[in-house]
Amino acid sequence: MTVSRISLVVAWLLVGLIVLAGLDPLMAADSAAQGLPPAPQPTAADYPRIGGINSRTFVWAFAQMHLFLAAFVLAVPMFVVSIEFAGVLSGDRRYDSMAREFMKVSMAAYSFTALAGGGLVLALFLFYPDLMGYMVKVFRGQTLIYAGLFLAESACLYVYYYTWDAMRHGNRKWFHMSIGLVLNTVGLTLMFLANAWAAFMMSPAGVDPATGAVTGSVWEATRNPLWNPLNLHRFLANIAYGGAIVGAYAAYRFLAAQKDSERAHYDWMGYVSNFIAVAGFLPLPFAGYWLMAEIYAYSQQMGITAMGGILAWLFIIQAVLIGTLLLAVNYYLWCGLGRTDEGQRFARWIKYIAVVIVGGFLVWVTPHSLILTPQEIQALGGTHHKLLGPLGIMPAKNTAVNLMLVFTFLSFQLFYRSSRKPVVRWAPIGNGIIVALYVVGILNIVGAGIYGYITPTVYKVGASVPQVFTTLTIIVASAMIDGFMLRGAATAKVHWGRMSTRSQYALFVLPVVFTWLMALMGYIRSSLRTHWHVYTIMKDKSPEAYIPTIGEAGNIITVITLMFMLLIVFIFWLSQIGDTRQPDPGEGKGAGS
Amino acid sequence: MSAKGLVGLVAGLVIWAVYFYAADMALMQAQGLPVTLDLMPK
Repeated sequence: MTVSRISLVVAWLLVGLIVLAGLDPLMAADSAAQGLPPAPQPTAADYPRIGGINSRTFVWAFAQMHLFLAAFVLAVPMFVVSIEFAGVLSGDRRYDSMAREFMKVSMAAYSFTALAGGGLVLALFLFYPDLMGYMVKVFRGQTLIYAGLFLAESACLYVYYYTWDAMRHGNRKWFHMSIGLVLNTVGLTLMFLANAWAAFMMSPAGVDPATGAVTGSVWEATRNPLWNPLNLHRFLANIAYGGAIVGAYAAYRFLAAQKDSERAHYDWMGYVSNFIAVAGFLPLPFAGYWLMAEIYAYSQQMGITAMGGILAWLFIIQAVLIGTLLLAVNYYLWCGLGRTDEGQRFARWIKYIAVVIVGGFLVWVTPHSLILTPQEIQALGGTHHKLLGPLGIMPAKNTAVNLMLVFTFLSFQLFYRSSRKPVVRWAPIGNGIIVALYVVGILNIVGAGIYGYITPTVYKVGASVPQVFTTLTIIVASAMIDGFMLRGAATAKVHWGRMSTRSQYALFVLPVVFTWLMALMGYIRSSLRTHWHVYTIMKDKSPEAYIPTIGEAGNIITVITLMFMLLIVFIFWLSQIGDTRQPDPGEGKGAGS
Repeated sequence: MSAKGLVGLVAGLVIWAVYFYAADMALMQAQGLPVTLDLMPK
């Protein structure tokens, strides 16, 4: 333990050194920042044209591909260290081998991440030199720190992966986990820095609002109003995304497995991956809500552009995608009840959960304003449907989303219970308290939704906070009660691998939907700047400075998603072929003679 | 449902109802939205 403690201290010292090394040039640059010229205002002629390439689409594709890959490779080590730690605590070697396998998949993706990032930087400097020149002036030494951190990330990643087998037991294992901790710290810092640049373009700080001249420190520009909401949102989304991708890998291997033992292993891996994806996803809508609230607080016009203007319809598409996602997650969990003989006891609840999930999905996708012909408006007696119109506003949608999340958690809880029977004496009382929590919590969520219809707008918006709080209370409190109640529980045998083939396709749905969703929401976030490179500071005068139609954006997003999916299939194949060993020429003959 | 379960359910209903009522009120007040005892705007 002493060595492990020392290793942890060393790990944190390393982190401290990195931070200090970063702060030094930042501070030094501050004094030199004063007196910089105003933000450049390029004309259309200042944007280099190369052949018939559409600059915006080119950069868009590279940026999105880089973000997909970076989200994946940053997320995987986060939950890998946690799984490794769980393996040490439980003494179950399966955790360790699964964690290593997760890392193997992400290692194959790492070089592609760097390539996409390099391509993005080149494309940005090539097509948008004035913008990039300005961004470098604003963030100065931080760009070098970013480069340094990228090197540190690569070093930590390779050391962490390649020392896995060399540090398997005792204090060495603790040291190995410390390396993982440093890797995650560096990775998160990298992401936070990149987020600062994207957030600065939306809500600039540390610059003169009239001219764009750099007046503040790098830290002021970094800590702009949207930075932390974006940090939290991407942090959670990355975990969900990483879980979804490794879940698809597990499904891929499950379907390709030839032996029952392999099928059991990859079924278990798929279950854990799905759990990680759901754990990251459940709080995500609340982080998204905070981000959107901060966007409104920063610029009401920007907020209205997103949710009440040209981009509003994309949120309906978002609802369709998230609804699909939740249906897939629940379907997978319901199929999982078949893994235990006891699971059938809970199967009768599935239909009720399905009604809530599908009902919530339908409410969520109901638009407030319909695109109608004059005849349809006449037939309806207005632009809003009498019954469905009220479902198009936020109180109904917030209620639907919260109920969908609560019932998704219930699906998970039922699956968890299907292999455990509490033996504590107070189990009936505990069950009663959990049932009461769900009943009162659901009533509170629905009540707060109705409250939104009978109170002024400010109270309507305010009521969403108790709704979120209720959902989180149900999840956290019932998980805690379950945790105490299931101590020493009688466990039923879980038949890992006893899953239908179609359940695995639900695991494929997750990364496809997540990828499409990230591309869609990224497009919305970026489009909120409308005709500005840096909102209200530096105008975009390039020929592509327009918001594309929904159809055009949808096509581009779909193509990028398909490209990424092809890459992911290639990465899965690489990981699988890495485990394959061609038999020696004489191997078969020797056995037969 | 067993007698113990029923006791747990009733106790839980009361406890959670009080808890959520107090939480709703506190969260609305914390947002600068004053409410009366029936949680309606002041």
